[in-house]
Amino acid sequence: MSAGLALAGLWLVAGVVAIGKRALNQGLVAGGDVSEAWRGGELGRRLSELEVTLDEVHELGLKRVAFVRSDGANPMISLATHRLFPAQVVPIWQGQKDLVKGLASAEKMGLDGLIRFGPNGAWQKAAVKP
Amino acid sequence: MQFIPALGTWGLCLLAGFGFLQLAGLRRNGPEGVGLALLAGAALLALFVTLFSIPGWVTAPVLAAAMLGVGAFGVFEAFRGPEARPSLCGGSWLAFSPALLVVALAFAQAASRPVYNVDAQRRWVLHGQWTAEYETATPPAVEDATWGTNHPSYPPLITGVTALALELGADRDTGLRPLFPVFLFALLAVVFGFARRRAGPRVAGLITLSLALVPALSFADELGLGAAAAHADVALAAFLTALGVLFLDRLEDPDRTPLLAIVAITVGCVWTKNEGMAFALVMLSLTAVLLLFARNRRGARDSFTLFAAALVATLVWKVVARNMPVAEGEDYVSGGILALLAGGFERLPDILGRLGAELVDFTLWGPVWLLAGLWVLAAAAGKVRTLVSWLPLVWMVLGFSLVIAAYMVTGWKDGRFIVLMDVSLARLLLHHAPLVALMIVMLFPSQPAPGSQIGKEASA
Repeated sequence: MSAGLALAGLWLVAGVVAIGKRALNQGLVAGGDVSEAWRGGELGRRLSELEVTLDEVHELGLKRVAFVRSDGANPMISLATHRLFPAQVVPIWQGQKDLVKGLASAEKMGLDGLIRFGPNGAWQKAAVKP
Repeated sequence: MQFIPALGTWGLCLLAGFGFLQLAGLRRNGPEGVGLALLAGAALLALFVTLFSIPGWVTAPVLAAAMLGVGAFGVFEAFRGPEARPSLCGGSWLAFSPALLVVALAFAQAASRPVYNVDAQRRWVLHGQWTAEYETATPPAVEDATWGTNHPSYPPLITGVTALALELGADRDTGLRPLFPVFLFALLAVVFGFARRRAGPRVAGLITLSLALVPALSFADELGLGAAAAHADVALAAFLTALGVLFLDRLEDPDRTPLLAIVAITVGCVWTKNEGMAFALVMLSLTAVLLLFARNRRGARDSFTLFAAALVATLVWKVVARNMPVAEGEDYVSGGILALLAGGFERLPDILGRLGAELVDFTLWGPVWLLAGLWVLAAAAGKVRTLVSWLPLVWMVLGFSLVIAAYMVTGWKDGRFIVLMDVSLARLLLHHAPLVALMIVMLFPSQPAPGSQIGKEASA
């Protein structure tokens, strides 16, 4: 019983220190939109812009949309998957970085839309006819 | 007010779970009664989603009618019989209240930000969206192999809870995260009830608050950790802990803990995550063998019965979801698993190194794993004398072994297991962290109820 009390007491004291240290770094309640959740910055800016693009794509009523991704783009694919439902989002993995290849691949896969982050630093979307 | 549909969903689960537990004969008061009712209700909801997915009837009116029906029948039976009526208002809420504040903080976090975690958007919430859209958890629309990376074959409990909230009007961005801190509440409530029976309300409050303060469990806002994330890991931790608590209770006093109630929680484990499926099956079969060796035949028989329930639940979902695609390299349950395991030993040093680094991350785990080590020292010094008291540690070692085995066999993204560990190891360890609380509770003597059989079986 005394061993149990000792362990429980140690747990509480060290646990308060641990969560206190984390709270100092993280903040007590972290609010904000998707881009803020991903710590803002360049990724956050891209996510904010993507939200606008996704709304436009959603209105097109497409069924299967390719998303040309590069490394580190998982949050973007996830956001697209979440927002475009019931459309299916199919990631086209790195190695197909230019739009021509992406379009060709999308047509081959039977997709009817494509989203990619263009070389001019803006999101590009295109309807594809399989 | 985006959280109202989430609360409505849990209200239905509470009513159905409370009714079911009354029918099963499990009478628990206060926080523990509420926590167990929430978990049993979620397991019932998963059952209804599974069954109604076959004809495509997963709609709010059908689910609500089924849940209300079970709840009303159970409440009627509870208040008709001569036994003492359960009181959800009693049971030392005051001692539980510090832990409740941590749950409130998690709820504030959940309500302050939309769904954003990668796995949540591509898996749990997505599955909830298509279940609500197509009125079945297994729609033909996702049978195409290209949906495999979204894991349509994953079990239906989180899907069901999410889909019902969407059906009740939850916003898919901001209305779903408030569902998830309720699993933390249930977890803490179950631990509190267990600790209260052995150590009294004040020590129970201390242990429960300490568990609540584990950052990975309640507060960490990264990689799908913390109770506010729209993930299944805290939920699975809650179900596995409840299974452990009820099983230990039944070993000590079978009259107080009917088997049917444990069956519901076991099914909840199996239908929350694939890891729950694997762990419940292995845990229950191993425990049965251990109890058999200890000549505790009744305990072994109970364990085999629960194993059978877990197996049936696994097979039922496998049959219902038989057309759902599985992503390449992520089939962890086929017959080829042993061959993969035998070939995975060269990964072991890297896996153990990464695991060791994870366990000493103080701002994620606090002292929880250190305490497990100290508990072993205390046990070795003679503080733990019965097999039953060792069971939480046995289950923890088993859980770690399964986690290591999973990384040895994974073919995820051509076998990039270190990357997979970076994004999933903490969540897998989370499932077993609450066992440390049960281990500490087992250092306190059991308190027999008048006329109960406590102590007779515990000495096995």
